[in-house]
Amino acid sequence: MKRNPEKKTRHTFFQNIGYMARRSIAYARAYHLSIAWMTVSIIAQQVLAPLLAAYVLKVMIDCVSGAASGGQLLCALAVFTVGSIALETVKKSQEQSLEIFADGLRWQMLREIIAKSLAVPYADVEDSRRRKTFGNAVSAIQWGDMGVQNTWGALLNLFAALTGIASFFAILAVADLRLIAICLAAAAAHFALSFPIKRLARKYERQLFATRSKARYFSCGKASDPKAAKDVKLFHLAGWFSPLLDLLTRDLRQGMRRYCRQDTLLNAAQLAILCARDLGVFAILTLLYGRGELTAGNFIFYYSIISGTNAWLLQFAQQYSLLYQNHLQADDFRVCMELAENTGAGGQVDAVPDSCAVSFEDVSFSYDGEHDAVSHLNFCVSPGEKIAIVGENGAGKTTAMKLLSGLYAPTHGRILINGRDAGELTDKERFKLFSAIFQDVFLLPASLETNVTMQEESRTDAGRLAEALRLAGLSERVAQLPDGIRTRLGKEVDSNAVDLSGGETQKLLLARAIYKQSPIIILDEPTAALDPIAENELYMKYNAITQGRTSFYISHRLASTAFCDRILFLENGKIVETGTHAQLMAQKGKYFRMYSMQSYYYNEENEGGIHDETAV
Amino acid sequence: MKQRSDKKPSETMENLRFSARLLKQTSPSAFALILLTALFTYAAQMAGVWLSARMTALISAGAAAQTVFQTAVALAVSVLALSLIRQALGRWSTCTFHQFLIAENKILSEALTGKDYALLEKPDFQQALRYYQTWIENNGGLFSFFYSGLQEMVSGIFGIAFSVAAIAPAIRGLLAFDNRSFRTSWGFGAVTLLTVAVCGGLTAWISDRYAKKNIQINDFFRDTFAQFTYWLDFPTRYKPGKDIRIYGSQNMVIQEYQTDFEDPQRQYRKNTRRTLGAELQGMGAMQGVITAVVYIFVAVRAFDGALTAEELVRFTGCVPIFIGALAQLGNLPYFFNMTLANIGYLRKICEYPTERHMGTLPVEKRNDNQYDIEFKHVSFKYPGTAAYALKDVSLKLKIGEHLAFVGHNGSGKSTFIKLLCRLYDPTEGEITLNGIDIRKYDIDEYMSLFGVVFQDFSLFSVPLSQNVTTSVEFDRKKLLDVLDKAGIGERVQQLPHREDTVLYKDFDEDGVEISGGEAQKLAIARALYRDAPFVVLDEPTAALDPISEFEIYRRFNSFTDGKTAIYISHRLSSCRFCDKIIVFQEGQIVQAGSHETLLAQGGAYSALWHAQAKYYVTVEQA
Repeated sequence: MKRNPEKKTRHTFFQNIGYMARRSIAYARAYHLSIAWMTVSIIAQQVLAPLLAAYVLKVMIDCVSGAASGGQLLCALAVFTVGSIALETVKKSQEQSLEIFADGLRWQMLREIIAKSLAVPYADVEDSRRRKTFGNAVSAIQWGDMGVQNTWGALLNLFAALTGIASFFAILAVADLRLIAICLAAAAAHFALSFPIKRLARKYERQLFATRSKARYFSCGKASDPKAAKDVKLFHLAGWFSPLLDLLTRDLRQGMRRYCRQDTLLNAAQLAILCARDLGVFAILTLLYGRGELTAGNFIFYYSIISGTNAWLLQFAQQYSLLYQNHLQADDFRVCMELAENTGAGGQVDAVPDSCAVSFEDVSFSYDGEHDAVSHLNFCVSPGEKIAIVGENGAGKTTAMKLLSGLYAPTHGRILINGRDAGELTDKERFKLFSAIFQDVFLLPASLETNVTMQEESRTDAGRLAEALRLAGLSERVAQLPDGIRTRLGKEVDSNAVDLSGGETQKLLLARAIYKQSPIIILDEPTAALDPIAENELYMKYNAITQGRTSFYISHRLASTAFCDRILFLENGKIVETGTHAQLMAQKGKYFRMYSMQSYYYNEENEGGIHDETAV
Repeated sequence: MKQRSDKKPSETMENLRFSARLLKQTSPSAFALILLTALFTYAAQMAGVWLSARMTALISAGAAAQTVFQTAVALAVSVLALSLIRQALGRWSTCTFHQFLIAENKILSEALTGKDYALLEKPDFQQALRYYQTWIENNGGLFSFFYSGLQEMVSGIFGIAFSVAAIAPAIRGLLAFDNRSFRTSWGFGAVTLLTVAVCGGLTAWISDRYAKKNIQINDFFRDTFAQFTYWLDFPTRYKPGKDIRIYGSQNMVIQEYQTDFEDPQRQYRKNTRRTLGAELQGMGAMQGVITAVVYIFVAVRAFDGALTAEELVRFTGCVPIFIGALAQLGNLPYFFNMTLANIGYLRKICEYPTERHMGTLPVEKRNDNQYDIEFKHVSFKYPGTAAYALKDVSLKLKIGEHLAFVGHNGSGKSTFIKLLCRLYDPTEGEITLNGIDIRKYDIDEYMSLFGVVFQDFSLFSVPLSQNVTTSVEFDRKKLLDVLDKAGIGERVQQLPHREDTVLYKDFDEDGVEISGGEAQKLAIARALYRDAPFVVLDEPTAALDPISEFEIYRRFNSFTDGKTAIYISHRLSSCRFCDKIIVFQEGQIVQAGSHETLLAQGGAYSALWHAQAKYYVTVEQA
C-alpha cells in the first residue's frame, strides 16, 4: 500500500507535485470541470469560517460588557449570517466535486498504466522484479482516499492552512508579537514530534496491511472462491483456516499493543506541548489584561484565534505528509510511464507475406542471467513447413516460441524471418506475422466475437469469423449461446456473462489463431483439455488450418508429430534430435524412447498394469 | 427469498440481533470502550469551553490578574488530563477495532468453509457473498462500519447531552422575556424557534432524499466493483500480455476499458454530482441558517442583558458541538440502514439453510478398507439447469478395484466424482455406503474417505508442508513419505526452506513459484497424505510430459495399493493399467468392462481408443 519513504525517488518533490498539478489542470480542461471555482470556494470556506465565528463572538462579548454598540453588533451579525449561509452552502457540494474530479483522474491514470503495460517489451512485465514497477504504479491509485489522484486536494488544503496561519498570525501580531513566538515554538515542537509518530504509524500500518491481506485471503479470497471450494470442502480446510486466522489475530494483537504503548507516549508529549503553549499564552494575555490593554471580547477573540492556529498547524502537518506520500506515489507512476517502449529500429512496413521462412542462428536466452533456458539454438524452417516441437517439461520449447514471436529478445544470436534479422522489425511489424495459442488461457471479459478477433468489434470480418469458428469446431456451441457471437464471457466480472468449459475455451483460442490468417502459426499444447475425438478432429483439420502457413506445434501428445513435416526434439534448451517421425524412430534415440513410453500402453502386446521398464 | 418479502421489520430485528451476537462474540468490552471514549472526548472539549467562559467572566468582572492566571492554569491542566485519558482510550479502541476486522474474516471463512458445497453455486447465495465482499473491500468491513456507527451514535448523544447541560443554567435568562419590544418578547423567541424547527425539518427531509439517492449510488459501485478490481489487477497480470501483443489488440483492450468501465464510471459520477449537488447545497444552507438564527437570537438577548458574558461564551462554544452532534445523529438512519442491509448479507451467508439432508451417522473406521459404494439409478441435474448431467447411472465400486473413466468433454465423468464425494446429492436415485444411503452419514466423516485430485485443484500461499497436510500441525515423516511417492520429494529438498518453503509470492518475498507439473504432484501428495480408502485422480497428467506421465502411470499402482481408485483421463493409455473401464456418454454409462472386452465390443470405447491409439500403434516396435 505505502512505499518505503527512504527509497530514493527519480524526480524531486517539486517536480512530482508540479507534474500532478499540471495533470489535474489538464484533466479538468479535458472534461470541462471548473477546478478554479472548486479551489477558490473550498479555500475561502476553510479560511473565512473560523474568522467569522471568532469575530462575531468578540463583538457579542464586547457588546455585553459595553465595549461595543448595538450598531456594531448588528453589522457583525449581518456579515456573519450572510457569510455562514454562503460558505456552508458551497462547502459540501464543492468537496464532493473534488472527490469526483479525483476519481475521474484516477481512472484516466489507470488507463495509462494498462496501456503502458501492453506497450513495453513483454519480458518487462513477465519478470516479477520488473513487474513491480507496474505494481507500484497501480498502488499509487489503488486507494480512493489516499491515492495520488488526490494531490490537488492536498495542495489546496495545504494552501488553505498556510493562508489560515498567515491570517491568524497577522491578527496576533496586532496584540503581542510574543504570542506568535509562543505559537511558533509550540508548533515547531509539535511538528517535530509528528515525524516519529508517522514513522511508528507506518511501521504499524505495514504490519496491519500484511495481516489483513492474509486474513482476507483465507476468507474473501480462497474460502469464497468457487474454484477452490471443492478442495476446501473435501479436505475439510475449515479445520485448517480457523487456527491460521487465530494466529493472525494473536500476532496483530501483540503488534498493536507494542505500537499503542509507544504511540501513546509520543501523543502525550504532543498534548503536553499544547498545554504548555496555552499556559504561555495565558501568561501574556493576563499580563496585557493587568496593564488594562485587554477587553473581555479581545481576550476571547485572541484565545479562539490561538486555538484555531493549532488546528491550522495540524492541518498543515497532515496535508504536508499526504502531499509527501503523493510525491512518492507520483514518482512510482512516472517511473512506470517512463519505461521504454519497444519500438525496434523500424523501417519500411512490408506487406505481410503469405508465408515465411524462419531461421535461428546460434540463439541463446536466459531468464536469470545465469542459466540458459535456450542455448545456442540453430535451425531453419522453410515457408509452409509444419514443425512439431517435443521435449520434457522445462526443455525450452515455449521459450523458443516466445523468442520466435518476438515476446523475448535473444540474449545471444539472431533470428531471421525471410532472411531479414527479426530484431530490426518493430514490434508491430513482427507481431503481424504471428498467431499463437499459449498454454495459459487469456479471455477478456468482453464479447465472444472480440475474444476471437481480438480487435474492436467495428473491425470484425464476419465471414472470416464464421469460418474460423467452423474450423475450430465451435460454430454449433456458439449458435446455442443466448446472444450468439455477441455473448459476453467472464462471469467473474459480469454475472450475466457465460463461462466456457476448458475444451470450449481451447477451441476458442484455436479460432482466434485461425481468424488472424498470419503467415506463421504457433500452437502450444492446444489439445490438453480435449477429449480423444476432439483431439483427433483437430489433427484431421490441421492441414486445412495451417494451409500454406509455417506452423509450430508443441505437444506432449506425440501423436501430433504424425502430421508435421519435421520434429525438433529439445532437451535443456538444445536441439538434440531432428527429422521426420520415421527417421527419429529409426535412430532409436531420445525421441524413440519418449514415443515408446507414451505408446507403451496403447500397444496391445503390453499388458496393462505391468511396470516393466525393460520394455521401454 | 420468501421470508424476505413478507416480513421486513422482523428482518431488521433479526439483523440487529445477529450483529449484537457477533459483536459480543468478538469483543464485549468494545461497548464500554465506545462509551468511555465518547465521554472523555466531550469532557475535554467542554473543559475547554468552560475555561474560556470562566476567564471571560473574570475579566469582565475586573478580577485581579493573578486570580485570572490561576484559573487559567487550573483549567489548562485539567484539559490536558482529560485529553490524555481520551487519547489512551482512543488508541485502545482502535486496537479493538482492528481485531474486529480479522474476527470478521474468520466468521466469513468459517461460515463458508463449513458450508454445503452446493450453496456456493446458488445465485442468491452468490449474490449475498459478492455484495458482502464488496462491502468489506470498499468500507473495510462491517465491523468497521458498525463500530464507527455506534461511535457516532454515542458521541452524538453525549454531544447533545453535554452541550444542553452546559447551556441549561442560561436558558432561564434567555427566556425571561419582558415584552417591552419585539426583541424582548415571546414572539422573537417563537420566530427563532420556528425557523430552527423548519430548517431542521427541511434538513431531515433533504438528508432522507440524499440517503436514498446515495444507496442507489452505492449499489452502482457495488455492481461495478468486480470490473474495477479486474482492471486494477490487469497491469500486473502479465500473462494476457502475450496474446494482446501478438494479436495487436492493445487498442481493443483500451477501448474495452473505456467503454465498459471508465466512461460509465465518469458519466455516473457526473450525474451523481448533478443529482446530489442540490441536496448537499440545501443541507449546507440549512445548517448555515440555523447557526445564524441561533447566533442572532443569543446576541440580541445578550445585548438586552439576558445573558452574562460567561454564559454567552459557553453558549456559543456549545452551539457548534450541538450542531455537530445533531449532524452525527442525522446521518445515523442512513448509516444503520446500509450497515444492517449488509449485515443481512453476512447473516444470509451464515444462516443459509441447506436443503440437503445432513446425517449424523459416524462412518465405521475399518483397517481392511471394506467400504462398498454403490450408485443406484442415480440421475443428477446441476442447480438451475434443465438438462441431466447424469442420467440413470448404476455402478458398484468394488473394494480395491482400479477404474478408468473415459468419455467426451462434458459426458459426466467429473459430475460422477462430485456426487461420489457428496459435493452434491443425486436428483434421483441413491448412493449407498455399505448398504446405507450416504446422506445418513456425517458429511465430514464421509468425505474423509476420499483422497481426490480435482482437475482444477487449488494450492494456497502458505508453506508447502501445510498445503500437503492441510493442517498447521502435521506428521513430518508421513509428509516426506508422500512427497517421495508423488515423485516430488527430491525437488522439495532443493527448495530454500525445503518442505517449509512458502508457495507463491503473495505474502512472502521468499515464496517460490512452482510449475504446473510440480503443482500437480503436490496435489497428488495431498490426496495421498490423507491415506483414504478411495483415491480419485481427475486428469492428473494433462500438463505433464510423456516421461513424467509414464512415471505417474507406473506409480499409480503403488500409491493406490489396496485402495479403490478412479482415474479420469483423456489419455486413454491410462485404461491399460486399470482393472475396469467405465465409458460415459451424455451423462450415461454406456459401456463397462476390461479394455479387451470393450475393444471387442466395438462401441463408443473402441471409437475413442482408436481415435487416439492409431497414432501410436501404427509403428509397431517390431
